[in-house]
Amino acid sequence: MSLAPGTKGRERLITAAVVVGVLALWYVAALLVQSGDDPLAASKLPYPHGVIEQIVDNRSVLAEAGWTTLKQALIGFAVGAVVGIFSSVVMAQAAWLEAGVIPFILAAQMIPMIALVPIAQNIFKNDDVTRIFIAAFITFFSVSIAVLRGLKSAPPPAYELMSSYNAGRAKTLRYLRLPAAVPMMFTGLRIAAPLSLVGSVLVDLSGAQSGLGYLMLAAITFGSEGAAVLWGAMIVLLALGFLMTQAVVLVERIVAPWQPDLRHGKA
Amino acid sequence: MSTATATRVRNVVAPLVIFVVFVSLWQAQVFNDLFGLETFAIPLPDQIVEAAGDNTAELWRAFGQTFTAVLLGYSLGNGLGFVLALLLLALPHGAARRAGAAFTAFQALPIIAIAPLVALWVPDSLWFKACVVTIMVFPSMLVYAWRGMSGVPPESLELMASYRASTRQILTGLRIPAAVPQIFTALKYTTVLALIGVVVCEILKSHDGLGYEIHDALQLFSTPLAWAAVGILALVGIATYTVLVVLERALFPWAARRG
Repeated sequence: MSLAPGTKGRERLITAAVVVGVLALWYVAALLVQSGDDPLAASKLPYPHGVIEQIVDNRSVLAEAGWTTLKQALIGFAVGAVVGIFSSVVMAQAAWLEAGVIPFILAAQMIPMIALVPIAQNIFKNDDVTRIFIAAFITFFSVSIAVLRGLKSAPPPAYELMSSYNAGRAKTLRYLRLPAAVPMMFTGLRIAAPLSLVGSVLVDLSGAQSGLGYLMLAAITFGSEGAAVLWGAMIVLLALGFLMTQAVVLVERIVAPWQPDLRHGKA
Repeated sequence: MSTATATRVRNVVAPLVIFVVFVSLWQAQVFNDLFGLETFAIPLPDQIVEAAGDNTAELWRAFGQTFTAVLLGYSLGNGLGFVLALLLLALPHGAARRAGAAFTAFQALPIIAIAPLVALWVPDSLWFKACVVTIMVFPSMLVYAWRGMSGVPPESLELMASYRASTRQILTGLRIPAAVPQIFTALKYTTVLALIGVVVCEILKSHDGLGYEIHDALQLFSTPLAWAAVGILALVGIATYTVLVVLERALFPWAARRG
């Protein structure tokens, strides 16, 4: 996989060229948008330097709102992941229970869980609790289906080996099924990470008085005055989602470096 | 043989039993008592069904508004993703790989963050929803279709070359058929993305559709109606996914077995 230095340099050059090209296109497009007399032009497409300026100028506001949204998403993500992993391991112990629950967990993947945000807000009457609940709920389903599948992923010969060692149910779980479930569990966590953030943001967007989503809504409602924060909040949110996914990948590398996907530098 | 039948019976009976027990407990207000919540916070199943029955016309109209936007955005997004995957295929391999990696990363972003911005650009309610869905959906189709089309075995490509097949013939005769399982994976996965996108738009800004219905019903304290709308969304999600699974099995049985 080692690249010749020349190739590496060329790759960097191409990447730089693409970045410059995109920025140039952005400036031209922004110029076109701003040259009209649209009062919302500054919100619709600001100049790249304007966006950076916004983020720097509003850094304390953005940091506070970002932390509100992220904190609850992280708590919910952790709660959902722990409950999901634990309950899947329990469910996998009784075949009839697993068979009874799997269709519902599968169906849950096809349902826009986000629709529960207004309902949860109505029940809890508390934005923080709602954010945590929604993030946990979404994470739970992604993680539990992944773990249930992973627990079943070991090949039959491996079970035969375990039984030839006279390993009981507990030992088979500890030494075969749980390690086999780790890669799929991380896939589930990777999918759930940005989703938990989306859940948390939607609470901001639908009537909460804080968080990144609230900043964005305020930016739209207050017209050009609020324009400054719209792009900043959007970029912070995208960055947080990216970082959450990368954090899961990083943990995966540390916890399960033997994972085949990682060995080949994929994922 | 008998164990296989027993497994099959268990796979049908166990979920049914759990469903019946769950709904019965819910109807008997066990959950409400457990969490100390009144029935106006968590309505009972019969209240939800009754609310759905009393508001059929309204729910039907909202469903139509939601589903039109889902279909439009879903078709545009998947179409765009597929066309971009074809373009990626035409790029030199290294560039295509980098672009593919970039879109894979893009896929993991909370793309819904751009919804408020799209709302500024596209004031029309239907197109606002469709645009958000398109932007959410296309990266998945792009990545899956591109992986499927570029991942054909080299021997097959050599065979096609030995037949002097044109690029177009390789595409229609080898690459696209080989990508069918991945394309269906993307088609199935993006149904729920499309629904999420539309519902978020409707809760955020639109004044129509099932998402708004949920919001509006809660404002008017008719919780059962809100739950009915959530139930319909759930059914729509399950139904669209099921339709795709059935389609895949009917049209491409070989792909369904592999996927």
